[in-house]
Amino acid sequence: MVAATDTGDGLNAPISYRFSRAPYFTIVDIRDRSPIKVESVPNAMAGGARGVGVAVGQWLLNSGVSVVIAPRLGPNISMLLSQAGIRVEVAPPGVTVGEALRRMGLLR
Amino acid sequence: MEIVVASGKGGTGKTFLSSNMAIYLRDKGGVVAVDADVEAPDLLLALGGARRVLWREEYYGAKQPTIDYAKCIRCWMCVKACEFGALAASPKGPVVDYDRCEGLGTCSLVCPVNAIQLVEAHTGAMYAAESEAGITVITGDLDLGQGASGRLVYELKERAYELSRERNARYRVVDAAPGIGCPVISSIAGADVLIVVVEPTPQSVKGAKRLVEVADMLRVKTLAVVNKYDLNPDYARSIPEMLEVELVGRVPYDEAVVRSYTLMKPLLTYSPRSKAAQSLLEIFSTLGF
Amino acid sequence: MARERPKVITVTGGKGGTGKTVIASNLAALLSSAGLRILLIDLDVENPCAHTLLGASLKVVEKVAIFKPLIDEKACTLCGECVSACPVHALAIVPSRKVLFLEALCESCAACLYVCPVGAISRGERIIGWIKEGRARSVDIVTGELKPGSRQYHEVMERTMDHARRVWRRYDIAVMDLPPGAGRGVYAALKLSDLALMVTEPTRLGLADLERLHNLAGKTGVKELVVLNKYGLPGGTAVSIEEFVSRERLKLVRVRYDPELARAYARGKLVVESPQSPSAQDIVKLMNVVADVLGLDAVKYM
Repeated sequence: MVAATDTGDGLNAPISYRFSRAPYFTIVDIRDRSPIKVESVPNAMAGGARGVGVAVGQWLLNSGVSVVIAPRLGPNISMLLSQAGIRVEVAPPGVTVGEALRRMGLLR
Repeated sequence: MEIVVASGKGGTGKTFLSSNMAIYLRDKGGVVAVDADVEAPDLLLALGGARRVLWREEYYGAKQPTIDYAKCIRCWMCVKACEFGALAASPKGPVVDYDRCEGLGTCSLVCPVNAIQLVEAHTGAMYAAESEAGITVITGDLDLGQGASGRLVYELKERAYELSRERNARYRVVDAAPGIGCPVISSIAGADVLIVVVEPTPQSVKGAKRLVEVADMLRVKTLAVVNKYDLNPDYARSIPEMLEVELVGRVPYDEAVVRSYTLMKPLLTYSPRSKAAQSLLEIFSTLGF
Repeated sequence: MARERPKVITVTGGKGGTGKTVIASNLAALLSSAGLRILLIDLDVENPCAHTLLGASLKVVEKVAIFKPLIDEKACTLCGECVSACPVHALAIVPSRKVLFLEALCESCAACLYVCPVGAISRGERIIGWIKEGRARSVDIVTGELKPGSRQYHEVMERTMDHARRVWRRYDIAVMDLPPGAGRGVYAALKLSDLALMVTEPTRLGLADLERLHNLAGKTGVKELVVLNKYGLPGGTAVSIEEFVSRERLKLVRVRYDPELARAYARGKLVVESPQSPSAQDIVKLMNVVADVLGLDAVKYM
């Protein structure tokens, strides 16, 4: 599971209002509704001029995530994710990653 | 919320509707306006012109191949590889026709001796200004004769999104270019609603139909406003059916509209009691802003 | 006498809705009735309308197709070369599964075709528009039309101009009807032209866009003639345009604001069919000025 976040504070990081150009990505591995690994990665692609959505999408595909959480996605990345069969969940900006996952029932 | 005003055909009243919509929304939660007609940007003028420029950013939206003729071995690989016919053979080597070049760099990719470099080219500017009517407008200005306006429109919308977040403005109004091409597609993509402005003429309806088709492909909800409906009331009545789009309202022909442009004041400020202004108010309240 | 090309008149205007198509189609009909062989080239590919005013029906003579990759999944080794070469990120790779092609992003550069080391990409085609032809009132029409949903309007314009240039030596005059704006396609068309009719209207926005267009035309050396359409529009302002025209030493022809013209337009007709109407008389005047500027003797004896 990955969410785009405003900070690098793991499960406490607030979800960013934007996706491809957010400052951080927070990646959470979940098993039996518990986090087994939480990682915050600065978004190296945030400043790119064009095609940022697909570049980020490609990076997500490479890292093997299966669920993406975002308030909204750009048209390019949503096209890519849907073609690759990755699930997209909508969450409002500002709530923490942990809270969003609990609301979705992905975490206890 | 992002509202795009577009028309398929030019001169039907996009800027008229979007400038007045911006005025209306200023007091309904705040607004940032975007002029996405970068080949003929008029929204700022319709809102009274710039009172002050907030920022300006040069835009390098194209790449151009430059050829090192000392390295070139005249193999003409680049000429054959260009999908746009932008390279032609000449005694000194390939010559680039920059009007046809899309700047995608296949020539450089196939050159076996690395004689072609791509350089960034200035194609326009983006800036934000506070208009005399008190509306923040983000606008682009494409260099004359340049292309790649779709990407510029996308950048403008991104800037508007950021600014509306910063200012807590609830609405963004995008005044699109005429037509259905690249910049219009960029204007519509990702918007919450598209408002098609159509006049009761076959030419305008034809353009609007093509636009609705594009909006359907982009899965953007579309509504129609019939402008100057009284020039041909019978025909105007059949427009929603022809377009298969829900009508939100009709605006009559009104000389006050032309005068408001001459004075560079939006109609809602210049003549709020005029019949066109009254119809606009009705439309905006129907839209539920 | 063999000739290379006809005299080329471009009808342009910067702002939308100033009356470019009305002027272009009425002028074409008038010149044709003066005995000249006329080719009308409709380059407003996003919403071509000139044929509707002339009453012509069109048929497709050429598809406008551009490159798209066809990926042979069996041959593909998922090496990712095409993904890195694509300058617009229209290709992506689902690790150990397949290469994805995002057609909406593709700009048809064919880089993928050249970098694929195993020949798994071949040449496919994507239709982005059509070139159509028709004839009405002894005017031959070539029209470019963009397929809705396609972005490449510029390519359709260029191909339409190419098509027209292959046949235009058979004509005395080619009239090109342009889209609004002052972009790349407008620039390319101006460069091909002998005379640019810059159709504007007596509004502040008309002037702003006219100024841009004049600056663009100045880069090409084309002769310029300002057509002030809807002259006398109630509430409008012609003064600032007249000042601009005299400051820039441009020629100006006024076409009066005329409800008859608006009615004809709404019915999809030509106003020159009502020769008594003020705008029709003005368009005849315009034709004479055009004939003068281009040295078309045949027309003067009308």
